[in-house]
Amino acid sequence: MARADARAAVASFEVVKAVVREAVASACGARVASILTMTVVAVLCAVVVLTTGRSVGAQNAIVSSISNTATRSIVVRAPVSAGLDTGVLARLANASEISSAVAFGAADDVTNAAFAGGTRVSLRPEYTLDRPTGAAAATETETAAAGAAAAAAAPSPTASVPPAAATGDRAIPTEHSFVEASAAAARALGLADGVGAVSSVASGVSEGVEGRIALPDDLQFLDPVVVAPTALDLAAPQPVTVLVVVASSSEQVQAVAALVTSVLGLTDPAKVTVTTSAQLTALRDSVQAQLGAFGHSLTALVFGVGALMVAAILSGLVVLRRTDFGRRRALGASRSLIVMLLVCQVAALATVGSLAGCFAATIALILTGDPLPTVSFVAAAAVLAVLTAVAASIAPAVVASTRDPLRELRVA
Amino acid sequence: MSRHAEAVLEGVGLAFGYARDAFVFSEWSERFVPGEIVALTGASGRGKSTLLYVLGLMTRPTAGEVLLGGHPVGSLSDRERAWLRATRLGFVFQDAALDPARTILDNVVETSLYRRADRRGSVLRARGLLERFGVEHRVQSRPGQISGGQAQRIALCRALMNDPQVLLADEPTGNLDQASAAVVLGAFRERAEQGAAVVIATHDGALMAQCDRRIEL
Repeated sequence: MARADARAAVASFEVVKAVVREAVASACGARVASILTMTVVAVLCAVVVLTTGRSVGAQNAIVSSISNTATRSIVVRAPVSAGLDTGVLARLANASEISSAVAFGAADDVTNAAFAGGTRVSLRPEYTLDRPTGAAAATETETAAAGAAAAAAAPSPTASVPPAAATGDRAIPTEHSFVEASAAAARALGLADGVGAVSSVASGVSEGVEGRIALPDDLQFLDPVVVAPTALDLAAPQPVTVLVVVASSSEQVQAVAALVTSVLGLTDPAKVTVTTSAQLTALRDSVQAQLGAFGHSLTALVFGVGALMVAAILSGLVVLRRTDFGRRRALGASRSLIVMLLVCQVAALATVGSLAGCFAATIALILTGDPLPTVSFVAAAAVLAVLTAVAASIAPAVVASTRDPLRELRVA
Repeated sequence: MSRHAEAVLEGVGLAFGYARDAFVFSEWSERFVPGEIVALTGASGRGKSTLLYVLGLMTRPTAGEVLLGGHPVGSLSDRERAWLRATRLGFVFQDAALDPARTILDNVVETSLYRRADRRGSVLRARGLLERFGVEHRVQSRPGQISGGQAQRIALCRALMNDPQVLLADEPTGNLDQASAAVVLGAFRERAEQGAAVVIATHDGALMAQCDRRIEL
């Protein structure tokens, strides 16, 4: 039984091999139709990759730009009297949906310590659980020596700062190892190269500014700001006025916002405002949906036109070679075999055409520097082109299979 | 060969018309036994070629039945009739009907696909037949590069590939010189002696004279 099955399988394989061989030979025989079919499929693939593929690439870039950290952030603002403190960071530490969390204490106005009456800029202590260097993003920190030298040159040296000063409900940051100014803050303070010293307007305490900080997207709303990375001591929670939590993905923003709200531990929740980037998320979804719909329509149109062209070419081929199909029928080819032969022929031609078209279009996109679609998109376009051509070939193939030998071969 | 031998091919009450009530032939019955060569003759338009296509299972008669090996084939499916054409019948067309895009060898071997024969063995047999009919040197040529006589001999090779029980030929010598016609007729006679029934539609008086029987349409 198994031997019979094996023999049947081998026989089937031999038939398929013979059909493929005959289809390829027929394709080589009908050169004009074959070249036309390959060209149509190649152009079809190239058009899809150059239009829809490029759109998908651009769409990915746009959505990716919208889906940056700013769109995933939840910002909690609270006055010191609301009771929000650095303990919230510990409560958020184990939430897997959270990418990062940073808290800022109350703002203290500072000016350039080198001269009185300069522009005021907020200085905020910054707390994180896992940021040993303190800065939330890449900094352009100048050498520590430069900052130290600048602080030494200031009228009120850092060494003389009294610890833990406070004014009203605003905690004054003290005992910072260094502070960093954003580019806008450095400009406003008149700090050349972001190095120098600042002095608190309220307390007169001076801090050495050691460099510039490049604020990430989710902290841009604080700009201009001087950030004072501060060691987090969970045993002695410090007041927090701004908490910025970044969700792992934009889809999780709402859930993370709910989580954050639930663990704030406030004494007066009425004083707190929680802002999410839901609007940006909605914008991203809208852009994605609109570009996606446009891409789908365009792809459907291109493939539809391509299918019609392949069908037209094959119909022409069937008309031109009707004697050939009549002869095949007369010599013993069944209708299904003729359909199989033509479909195989088109599949072989479409495969070559789609590979050529996708390759050429990808090279063109690379050369022009346009956004590239993903490999899976290009592969899908190629497969879809082959399937479209095969589907378009079925009707002409059926027509070819019904050629009557008597009408096609009989010589009057 | 006795007319009373079991018929390998038989037409019973056959009729065919291209239009309703306009029959090319009707109520036509005949038996073809192994070993004989039969000439179908008659004036042009009497349906010789059409009858040959009907007997060759290429088209269905308007009325009547064709029996192959004693079995009626009218109720068979297209696939079954195609299989019979590929395995038990051979056909030589009036104009050879070779595929102009393929080589001579491919043209002869083509039928092996339809009867699912081993290609390697078919190529060997095709080369043998082409050699026997003196056209082995043209195996890689295209039909457009050979003469009418060579084309007809190649068509004959193709028809003989499956050792047909019935060999049907439509004006096989119509475009041939005397020598080529003699080669073709010799092949028919040899095939008949091997046990096949040969039916030839022809106007050629010389060919008719060589046939065992003549049927006037």
